[in-house]
Amino acid sequence: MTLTAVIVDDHGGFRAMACQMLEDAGFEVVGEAFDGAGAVEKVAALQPDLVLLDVQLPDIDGFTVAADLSRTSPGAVVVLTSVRNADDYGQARVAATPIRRFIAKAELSGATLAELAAGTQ
Amino acid sequence: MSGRQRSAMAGLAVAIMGVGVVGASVRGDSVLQLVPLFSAGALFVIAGLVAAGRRPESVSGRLLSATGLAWLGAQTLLVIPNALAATVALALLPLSLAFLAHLSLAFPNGLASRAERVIVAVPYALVVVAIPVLDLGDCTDCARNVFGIDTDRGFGRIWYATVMLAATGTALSFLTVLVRRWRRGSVAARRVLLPVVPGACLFVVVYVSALLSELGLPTGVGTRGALVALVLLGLAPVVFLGGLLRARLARGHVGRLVVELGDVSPGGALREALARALGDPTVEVAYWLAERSGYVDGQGQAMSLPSGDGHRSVTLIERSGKPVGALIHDPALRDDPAHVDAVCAAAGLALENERLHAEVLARLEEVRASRARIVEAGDAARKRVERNLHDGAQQRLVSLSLAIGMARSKLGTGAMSDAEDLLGQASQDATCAIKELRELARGLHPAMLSEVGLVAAVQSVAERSPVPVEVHASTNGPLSDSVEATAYYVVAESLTNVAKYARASSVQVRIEHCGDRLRVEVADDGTGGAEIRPGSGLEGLADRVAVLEGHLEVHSSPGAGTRIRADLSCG
Repeated sequence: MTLTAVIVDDHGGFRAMACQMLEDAGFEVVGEAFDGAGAVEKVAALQPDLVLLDVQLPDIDGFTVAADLSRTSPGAVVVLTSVRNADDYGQARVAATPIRRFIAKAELSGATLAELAAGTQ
Repeated sequence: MSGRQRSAMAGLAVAIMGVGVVGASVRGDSVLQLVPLFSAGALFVIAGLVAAGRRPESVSGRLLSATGLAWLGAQTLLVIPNALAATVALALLPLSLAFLAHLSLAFPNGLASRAERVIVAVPYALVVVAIPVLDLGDCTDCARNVFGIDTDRGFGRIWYATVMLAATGTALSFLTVLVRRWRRGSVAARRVLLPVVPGACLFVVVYVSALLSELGLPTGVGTRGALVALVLLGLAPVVFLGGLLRARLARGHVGRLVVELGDVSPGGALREALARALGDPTVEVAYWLAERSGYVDGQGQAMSLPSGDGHRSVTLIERSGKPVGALIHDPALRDDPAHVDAVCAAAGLALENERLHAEVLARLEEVRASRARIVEAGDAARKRVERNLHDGAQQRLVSLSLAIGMARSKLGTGAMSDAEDLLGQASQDATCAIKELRELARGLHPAMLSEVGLVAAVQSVAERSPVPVEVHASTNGPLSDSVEATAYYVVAESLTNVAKYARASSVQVRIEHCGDRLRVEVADDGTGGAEIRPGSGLEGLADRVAVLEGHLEVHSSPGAGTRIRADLSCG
């Protein structure tokens, strides 16, 4: 069965790049959102296997969105990502957030995301 | 009144009394009976001359003298056995009351409103209207009023009653004005009015009662009431003169002020001492700061002077011809500007000290505020750089890195065409990142400045301006980095503002040395209306210029273009 994904990022350029990367890794990208409110709505409606979630969004930050998603869509694997490193936000804060993993944008790879979504990692 | 006018008036009074004495002697009357009558009139004239000498600008002295002269004239004319003289005398007697009524409202600083000017005109008009019904009472050998009519019956009776009632109404309206003035008066104003208002009120009450008994009403005021009125009238010059002289007596406070100022330390004690010396607890002191062309309070906080709406008065204080500040006080103190001046003169040195203290506090406050703004501006600039890096170059580099990673895996699977697309995109991202970093670096510090110097850097920024710029720039010898950078930013920021807001068709940039100072000027022919607003780029420039002991001026009237001039110390 094809894995589905939703990409949440306010930079269109990054969304396009991530979309290509996920599709190359065998995902079907079923939706995109550019802010936190849109993310919660899209994920609840589409119930994807993976949510690639940027930290810096125009309305609410990715940590808060992740906490909301864990309640509204507990089945989705949430991967938080950012131009910054996890260290910039504090490891404790990252650890306390209900996400599968934090991956800096420059270190993202389709294969890793596929493994996380399939639950093999 | 000038000294010559005062001498003339004194001479006139003496001449009138002389004629009276001669007239009485000729008639064989006792001259002694004239003594109390002439004394009362002379007292008014003397009080008026003293008041006019002390307060030449005040109308009070002239009115006091006029009252006395009218009274003296009436008494002298009554001595002359002639009907016309008696008629004039009959008119002069109420005229002296009209002068006195005018004085009661004009004391101490003239009439305050149009309504008051109308009210004081009424008694004068009444005197004219009353002429036909004036008489000397029931005496058989008295001279007759040549314009007199029979007031015992018919039309004459109605005329007489009407005049009496009008006089009553007028007296009561004077009473109302005086009582209202007293009730609304401040502490200082009541102090000035104290000798006048109670006496005037009592006189009006007695006068009105006397008028009503004339009309046959049982007011209970007989000869005793008339006596009270006469005594009050006799006291009037003393009371008015006393009121005017009180201020002079108050100068005793000036001496005490000088002693008190020995202990005054900055911070409010001077205001307290001035309030005591002036007898006005509401007095405020504003200090003049020449460099701001504005006033500050004792704490160095900016303040503006009241607009003179009648509730507060302003007296400007000068010392050696230079403005020191201003006293904001009760309008009643205008009664005696000489006293206010004397207090200010006595407090001169202390005021100057306090002004310097306020100036230091104001500068300190300015330095504090500008220091805080510089720190904030630095933080804001760093935040902007971080944001620009994050949104711009960093995102490009992330895309670049991802594209290269993806291209590499495409190469692994042999999808050469996909790999080529990805590498093309990566190359584009790299080009964009380089461009964005270059712009960011230019914003951090103009590289041109350190490489080719101020004049070339300014020419370069002028070339990039969308509005045509004419540059006249020259410097004598090397400038410090901070002066060069500040001069550059004045030009760059001003040109940015011109492009954004001014709708100008041309700009002149001028940089020149004036002694050990560098003058930078950017002038456009646009819409004007620019000013240093809190949080604006111009405020940031002003702070930057102030750090170099410089001064930024903005001349920008609406429609007349904008001229930004920075004066920097090169030392």
